[in-house]
Amino acid sequence: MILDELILPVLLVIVVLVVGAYLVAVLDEAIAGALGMPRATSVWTAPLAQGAWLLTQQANATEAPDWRAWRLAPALYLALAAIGLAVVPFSPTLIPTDLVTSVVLWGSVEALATVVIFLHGWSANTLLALIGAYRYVALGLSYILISMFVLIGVALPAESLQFSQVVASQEGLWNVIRQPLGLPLFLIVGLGMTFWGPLNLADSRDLARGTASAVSGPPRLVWNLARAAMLVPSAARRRAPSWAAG
Amino acid sequence: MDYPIGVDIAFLLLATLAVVSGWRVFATDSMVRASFFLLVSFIAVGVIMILLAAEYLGVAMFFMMAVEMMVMAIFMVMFMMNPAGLNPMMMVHQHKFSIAAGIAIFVVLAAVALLAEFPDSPLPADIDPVRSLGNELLGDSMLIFESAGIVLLTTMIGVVVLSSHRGRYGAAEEGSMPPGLVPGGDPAGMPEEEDEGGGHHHCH
Repeated sequence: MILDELILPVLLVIVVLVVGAYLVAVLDEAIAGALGMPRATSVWTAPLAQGAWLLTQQANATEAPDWRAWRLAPALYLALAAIGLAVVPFSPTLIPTDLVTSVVLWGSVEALATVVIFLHGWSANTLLALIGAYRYVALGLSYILISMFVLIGVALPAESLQFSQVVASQEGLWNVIRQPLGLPLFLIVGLGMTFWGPLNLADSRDLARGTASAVSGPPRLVWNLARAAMLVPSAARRRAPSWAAG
Repeated sequence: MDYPIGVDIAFLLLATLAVVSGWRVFATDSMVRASFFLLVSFIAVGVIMILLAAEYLGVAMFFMMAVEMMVMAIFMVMFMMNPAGLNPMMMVHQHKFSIAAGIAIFVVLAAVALLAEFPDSPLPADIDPVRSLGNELLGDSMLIFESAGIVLLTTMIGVVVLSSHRGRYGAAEEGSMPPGLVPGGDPAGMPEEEDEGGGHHHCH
C-alpha cells in the first residue's frame, strides 16, 4: 500500500520532472539555434554541460541579502513544480495523486509561485532583482485571474474539481472545441508563470536577468531547473484531453 | 476512528510549524518577512484542514492566503514609512496592551478547547465534502455569505480611500513633498536640475 500510494507516485513525479526539465532545456536550445542565436555544438549535451558548469561555480553574495529566503526560493519553486505535476493525469490509471480538489490545487500552485518569485527577487537586496520581483507580482496577479477563468471553465462542464473528472467529461467533446479560448489562454499563463520566451519579463534582458541577476553557481542551477520544471506540468495539463477520446 | 499514525505525526509537525512561524511574524523586523511567515503559518493550518478531510477549504486556504499575503506585503510597502521592506524596523508597538490582549485571547481559546463539549456525530463515510460545502455556500446560507462579502469589499475600499488621502510626506491635495535635509531647505531626493545660468529653480 505504501509502495503504491507513496513511493511510486513520488518516483514518477521526480522522473517526469527531471526528464521534462531536460527536454525543455534541449528544446529551448534548439529554438534559440533556429532563431539564429549563438548556440552550443550539440543541443543534447548543452544543458548538461551548462548545469555541470554552474555546479562548479561559486555562489555569489550581495550586500546583506535575506539568506534564508534567497536560498529557499529556487527550491520552493521546484517544489511547487513537483506539486503541480503530482496532480497531472498521465493516463486513465496513471495519476500520481487524484486529489478531489486538484484543479484548485493547481490554482494555488500558481498563486504560491507568485510569492516565491517575488521572494527570489526581493531577498537578493539588489535593485534590478527587486524591480523584476515587483514586475512579476503585477503580472502574476493578472495571470492568476486569467488562469482562474480557464480553470472554472474546465471545472463547470465536469461538475468536479478533480482533474480525472475533467478528463472524463471530455469523452464526448474536447474542451478545445467547447471552449476554444481556454487552451491559448492557458498556454499564455504557462509561459508567463515560468517567464519563458516572449513573456520573460521578470528575468528579462533589460533588467540584466531580473530576479536572477545576482544569483550564480548552484542556486542559479536550481532556479533554472525549477523554471524549466514548472513548464512541464503547465504543458502536461493541456496534453490530457488528447487521450481522453481514445 | 482509525487512521494511520502518519496523520498524528503530520499533525504535530504542522501544528509546530504553524505556531513557530506565527511567533516569527511578531519577532521579525520586516513587513515582507512578517507577511510571508504568516503565509507559512496559514499553509500549515491549511494542510491540517486537509488532514481533517476539509479538502476544499484546506486547498482554498493555500491560494487565498498566497494572493492575500502577497497583496498585503505590497500594500504595506506602499503605505508604510519604510518603503523598502528589507530594512530592519520595529514591527510591534503598544507592548503592554498587546501582551494583555494576547494572554486574554489565549486563555479564552484554551478554555474553549479544553472545556467545551464538542459534538460527537460522525459523518457517513461516503459524504462528499466539496459538494456539501458548495450546497451550503450557495444554498440556505447564501444571503449571509454574500452580504459578508459585500461588507468586506466596501470596508477594504473605504480603508484604502481613507488611508491613501495622507501620503508619506503630507496630504495628497496639498502636494506631498519630502522634507528638506536641513530645516526649511529644499525637498530631499529630488533630481538635480541641469541649468547653466546658476540659481536652482525647483518646481514646488
